[in-house]
Amino acid sequence: MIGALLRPVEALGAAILGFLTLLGGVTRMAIEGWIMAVAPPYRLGLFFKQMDFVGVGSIVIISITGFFTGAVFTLQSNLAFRNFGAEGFTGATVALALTRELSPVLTGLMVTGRAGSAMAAEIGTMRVTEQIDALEVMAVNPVQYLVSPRLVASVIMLPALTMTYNVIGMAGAWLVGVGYLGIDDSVFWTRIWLYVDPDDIIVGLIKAACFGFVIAAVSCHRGFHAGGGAEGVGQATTRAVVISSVSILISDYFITSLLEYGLLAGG
Amino acid sequence: MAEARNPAGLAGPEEDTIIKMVGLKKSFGPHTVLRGVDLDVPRGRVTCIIGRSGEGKSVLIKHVLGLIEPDAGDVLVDGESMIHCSQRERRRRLRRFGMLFQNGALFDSMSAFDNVAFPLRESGQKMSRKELAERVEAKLEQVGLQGVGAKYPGQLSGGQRKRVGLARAIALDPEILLYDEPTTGLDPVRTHAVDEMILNTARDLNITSVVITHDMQAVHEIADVVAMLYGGVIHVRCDAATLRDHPSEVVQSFLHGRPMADASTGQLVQD
Ligand SMILES: Nc1ncnc2c1ncn2[C@@H]1O[C@H](COP(=O)(O)OP(=O)(O)OP(=O)(O)O)[C@@H](O)[C@H]1O
Ligand SMILES: [Mg+2]
Repeated sequence: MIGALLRPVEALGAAILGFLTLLGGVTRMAIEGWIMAVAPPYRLGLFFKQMDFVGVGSIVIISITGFFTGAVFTLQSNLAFRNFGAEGFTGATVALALTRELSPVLTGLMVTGRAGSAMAAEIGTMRVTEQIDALEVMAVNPVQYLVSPRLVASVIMLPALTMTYNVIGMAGAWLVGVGYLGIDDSVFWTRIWLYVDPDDIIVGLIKAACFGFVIAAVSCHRGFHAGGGAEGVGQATTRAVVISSVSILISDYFITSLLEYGLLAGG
Repeated sequence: MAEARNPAGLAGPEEDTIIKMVGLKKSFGPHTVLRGVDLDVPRGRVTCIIGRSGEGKSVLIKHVLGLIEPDAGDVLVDGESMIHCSQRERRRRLRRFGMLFQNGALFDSMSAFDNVAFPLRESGQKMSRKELAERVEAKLEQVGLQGVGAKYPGQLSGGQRKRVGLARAIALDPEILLYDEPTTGLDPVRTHAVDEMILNTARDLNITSVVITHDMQAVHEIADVVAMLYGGVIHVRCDAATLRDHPSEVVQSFLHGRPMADASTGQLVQD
C-alpha cells in the first residue's frame, strides 16, 4: 500500500536527482572548458574553425529566419494596432520584441539545431570510436581540445548572430511595414528611435551569450558521455538538442527577470 | 622521450619489471570481466597477451593507460600509479606510451598525414615543417604506407587504417608501446613485416612492447613472455616455448582450437 503511494515520489526523486547530476556534470565540464581555454597550449586553428562553423556557417539560416520573423511580426502587430489607429507603433514594437526576446531566443534555437546537434554528434562519434581515448593517450586534454574551442566560439558568435538577426529582422519589418502596409517611413523610424534604447539591444546580446554557453556546454557534455555505437550517438544528439532548447527557454525567463527586475531595475 | 632507457637490469636473469598490474578487477554492470589480474611486464622485452575473444584483453590494456578505472587494483609504471593520480600527472606519465587501438581510433577529420603528425605537433617539440613532413613520411614508410598521407581514414582500407594507427603510435618513439591486435586484418606479407618491426624496435631501441594478438605463430616469433588471460585472471605467464608444451588443459585447448570450459564462475581450471 505505502509502497504504491511512494512510487511516484520515488520516480520524482529519481528524476530530480538525474537532473541535478546532469546539471552538475555540464557545469563541471563547462568550468573546465573555460579554464582550459586560457591555459596553454593555444590551438587557435581549432578555435577559428569553430567560429567559422558556429558563426559564419549559421549566417544564411539566421538571415532567412530573421527576415521572416520581422516580416510576420509586423503583419501581426499591425493588425492589432490598427484597432486603435496606432499603426505607427508597429515598427517600435517589432524592434523591441526582436532585440529583447525573439532574436536571441530564436537564434539560440536555430544554432542548437544546426551547430549543437553537430557538436554532440561529432564528439559522440569520437567517443564511441575511441578517438577521445586516443587523445588522452597522446597526453592531450580532450576537454581542452574539443570543448574549449566550441564553448568560446559559441559565446562569441551567438551575440554576433543575434545582432545579424536584429538587423535583418528590422529589414523584413521595414519592407512589410513601409513597403506593403503603407506605414509612413519617417513615423516608422522616429518611433523606433524614441522607444528602443541601447539597453534593449544589450540585454538581448547578453542573453545570446548565455545561450551560446548553454548550447556548447550541453551539446559537448552529451557527446562526451555518448555510449554504445551509432544508436548512442543518435541519442546523444537528440538529447543535446532537446536539453539545450528547453534550457534556453527556461534560462531566458530567469535571465530576463534578473536583468529587468534585478540588475537594471529602477532604470 | 627524454628519459634515458636503462638497459642495466637486463643482463641478469632477474627481470626488470616496468609495468606492474596488481589485483585489477573490473565489472561492467553485472558483467564481470577482470577478476584480479596480476601481471608483471619486463622492461625492454615483448610481452604477448593472448586469450579468447571477449575475454577482456582490450579492457586490460586500457587499464594500463588509465583509460578505464578499475573497481579494485592498481597499475604501476616504474612504481608510479596510473590510476591513483591527478589527470595532469597521468598525462605526463602517458608521454612515455604509444598505443595502437584495436580499431585504429584514427581521427577521421584528419588526413593520414595529420594523424601521424598529431603526436609530433602536440609533443611541443620545435621542428620545421620540412622536418615534420620527413618524420611523418619516414613513419608511414616504416609501415609500408608511403604516399597515402593525403588520404582520409574513410578512404583507407581496414589494414591501411591499422597501419596508420601503428605509425601514429610509434611517431614519438615512445619507451613503452601497447599494440592491440597489430596484425589482425593484414595480409601475410604485411603481418610478417609488422611482427619484424615490433621485434626490431624492441631489440634495437630497448622498447617495451605489450602485444595483444590472436596470431600464435607471431607469439612464437616475437614473444619473450606470453600471458594468457582466462576467466578474468592471468591463467599462465611463461615464455613462448614453455607455452607450447604447457600442461594446462586450458592452454592446450586454446592452442589447438578446441572449445574449453567456461570460467565464468571464477573457478579456474588448474593445471
Ligand atoms: N565499455 C564497456 N561497457 C560494457 N562492457 C564492455 C565495455 N568494454 C568491454 N566490455 C565487455 O568486456 C568484455 C571484454 O571485452 P574486450 O574488448 O576486452 O575483449 P577482447 O579480449 O579484447 O576481445 P577481442 O579479442 O575480440 O578483441 C566483453 O564481453 C565486452 O562486452
Ligand atoms: Mg580486443
